[in-house]
Amino acid sequence: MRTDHLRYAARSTTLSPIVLAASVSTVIVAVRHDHGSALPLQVAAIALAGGIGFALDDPAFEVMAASPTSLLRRRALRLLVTLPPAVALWAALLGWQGTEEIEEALALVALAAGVFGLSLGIAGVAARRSPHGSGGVAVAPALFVLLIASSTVPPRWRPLPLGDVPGGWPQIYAGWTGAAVLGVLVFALSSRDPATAIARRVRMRRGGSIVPTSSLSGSRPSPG
Amino acid sequence: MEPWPIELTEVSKRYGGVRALDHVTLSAGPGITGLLGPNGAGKTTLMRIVATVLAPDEGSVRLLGHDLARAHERVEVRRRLGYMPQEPGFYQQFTAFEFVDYVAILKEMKDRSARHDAVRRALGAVGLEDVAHRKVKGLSGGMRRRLALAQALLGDADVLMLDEPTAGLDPEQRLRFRELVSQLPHRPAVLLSTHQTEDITAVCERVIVLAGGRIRFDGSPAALAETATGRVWVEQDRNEQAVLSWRMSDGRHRHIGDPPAGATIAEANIDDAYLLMAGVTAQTQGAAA
Amino acid sequence: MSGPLRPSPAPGAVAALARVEGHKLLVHPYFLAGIAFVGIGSAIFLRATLTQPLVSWDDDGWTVAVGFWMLAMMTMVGANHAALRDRREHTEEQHTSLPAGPATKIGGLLTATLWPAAVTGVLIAAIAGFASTRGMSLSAVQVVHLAELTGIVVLLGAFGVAVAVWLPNPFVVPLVAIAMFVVHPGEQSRAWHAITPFADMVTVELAVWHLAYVVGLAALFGVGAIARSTRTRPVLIAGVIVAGIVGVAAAVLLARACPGACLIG
Repeated sequence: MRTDHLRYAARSTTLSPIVLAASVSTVIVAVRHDHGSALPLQVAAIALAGGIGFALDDPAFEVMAASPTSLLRRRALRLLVTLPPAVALWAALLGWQGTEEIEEALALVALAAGVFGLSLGIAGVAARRSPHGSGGVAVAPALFVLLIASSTVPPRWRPLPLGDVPGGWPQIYAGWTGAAVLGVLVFALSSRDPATAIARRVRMRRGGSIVPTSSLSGSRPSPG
Repeated sequence: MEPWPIELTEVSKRYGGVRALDHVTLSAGPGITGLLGPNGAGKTTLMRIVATVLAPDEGSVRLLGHDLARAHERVEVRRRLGYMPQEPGFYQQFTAFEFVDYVAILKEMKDRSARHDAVRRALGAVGLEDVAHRKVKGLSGGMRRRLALAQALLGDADVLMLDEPTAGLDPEQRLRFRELVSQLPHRPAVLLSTHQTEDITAVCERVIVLAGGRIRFDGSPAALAETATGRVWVEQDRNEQAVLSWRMSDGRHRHIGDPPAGATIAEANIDDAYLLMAGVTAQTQGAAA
Repeated sequence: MSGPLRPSPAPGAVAALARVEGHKLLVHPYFLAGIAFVGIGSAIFLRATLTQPLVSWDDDGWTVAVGFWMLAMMTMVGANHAALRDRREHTEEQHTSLPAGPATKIGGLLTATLWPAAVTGVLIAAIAGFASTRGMSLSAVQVVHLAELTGIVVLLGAFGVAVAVWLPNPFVVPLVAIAMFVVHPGEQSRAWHAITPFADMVTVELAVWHLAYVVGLAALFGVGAIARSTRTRPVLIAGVIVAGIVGVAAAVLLARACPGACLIG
């Protein structure tokens, strides 16, 4: 059953953005890979993260929502077929591009984790709010706005820094690791069962007696 | 005492400033219960809440004796629930068989051959066996509705939630649907939301009329039709005092409301009763606004 | 040569659609985010004019320009999002039966990008007006540069629409925006940098050529978008003319602006 499940999850996932992002990332690193710059890897991470955002799009969400397989599990399977290849590609690009020092490599890994995490968080929330279960379209623009917004504060205090910043790689490492954690937390929260709110609201209102079933008119058949 | 398969107690739901459901309390047992109401009455909201897709703002919902407020009980309910949404989405590149098979996997049908048998049975029940291996994007609108119905029928669900199941079906398929739903061997609790009063008359043992988020009527289809008895009349010209009136094919006008003295009273049917109820509700709400 | 039998854009319908779409673009969250970036960039500059001596457009005005570049990119994403609406909402088929063909809708969307451009023009005039009260007058080349910002908004808006028409994938334009933001041409000027939208020119003549290049490119994207559904003779002639203008302007910029004569933003 698991193989079938994975196969169907892969086939129902929107893959074209990830393929597009992978192509663009590879081209950018190929063109600039002898410049010794971290920038192509940063662009690749952001592009792949934008592509991963589409993985949560589910046009048949309404049909699947009533199944016993939880939303988190359904989403996890979609990510299982998209996230590992994206991470593997980015790691390969990191190896190809190379870094001058280990701190730089760690900071770039943190950056990749951060944008992937943010992408999941944004996609999770957007897919939940979208009438067609399609949140991917919001991810890349939202990442774009976050990056611009981040660049408007002084370099040292940028929450999502790109390139070299005063304070060095550890500064970048901390900011992006925080973004990764935040993104994954938001994703987990957005993947709660849509009917979860019942528990909270009903608990708040419990204490009174149950109102008896009423019929305004006509007869009511017995449960049989 | 055995619990009702579907029990809603004081359920309310708002979308911004619009109250979609207003303290709805109802129970439904095995057999087919029709849910009738004008657009925006709250039918789909009610269906989605009972189908465990949406949480109510207030109130409690119990299905098959399970409290939907509890996560593990909700999962148990979903194993025994079939849901056909009003606007089902599809994976266009899947075949009809693959689509229903995927739903079967998500319904935790573990044995592959038994699952495939169940998928074939469901597709056969809705008359899609011949196009089982055609891609969804190649199916007509009516076939897609039947595909959505097929996935809901999977695994002999104990509770079936069918939201506008006959919309877009041709007359033959509509008859076939009625036959199918009314002859389900294990007699599940079926909640059937529809605009088609013919469907209600043909298959429902009980009908609930919803308007403005509240239950306006709960009883048998015959009892619903009776509520309009003596309140339907026919005249040559349109009578402005009527709640609703419309021109018939013979050129005369059929009216519902409070008939004037000496009016020719006509036999009421479920359409008249429903229109009377919906019209009165609209007038009441209009006056209140 | 004529393409599929589709009517050309109907002017009345284009204007009506442009009003609706233009209003939608102005209240689109992406455009509003762009306005916020304009606010930040302008506030930094205006604050400097109030608190620091020796502030100039040359040295300090770049924050204003960057804010409007961000606005232009957000307009591009917003216009693309609007142009993909039918595809996203599955309303393509029901619109096919309408008398106004796709060319009219595309024409309306393209014309709608003039609304953000108008807002850009008003904001720039207000900022320049305020700066002039602080004794900061604009040189002729700076006036052209500021005027060109409105052209860049239209250019990127038209690009967003054209991409939606030819490559209807919602990921393409955001990806381009990210690439434009992150991958800038770099410190060292190269000849081709002169034909990037954000290049600054040091003489009025070159600045005017760059403005003509930006406006021509916007028109070329517009014609290209319309040509997807309507390849009538007027559309093709317009395409040839604007392609000629863009080609000549690009050639002039490549030949005369660099090396050494252009500064990259």
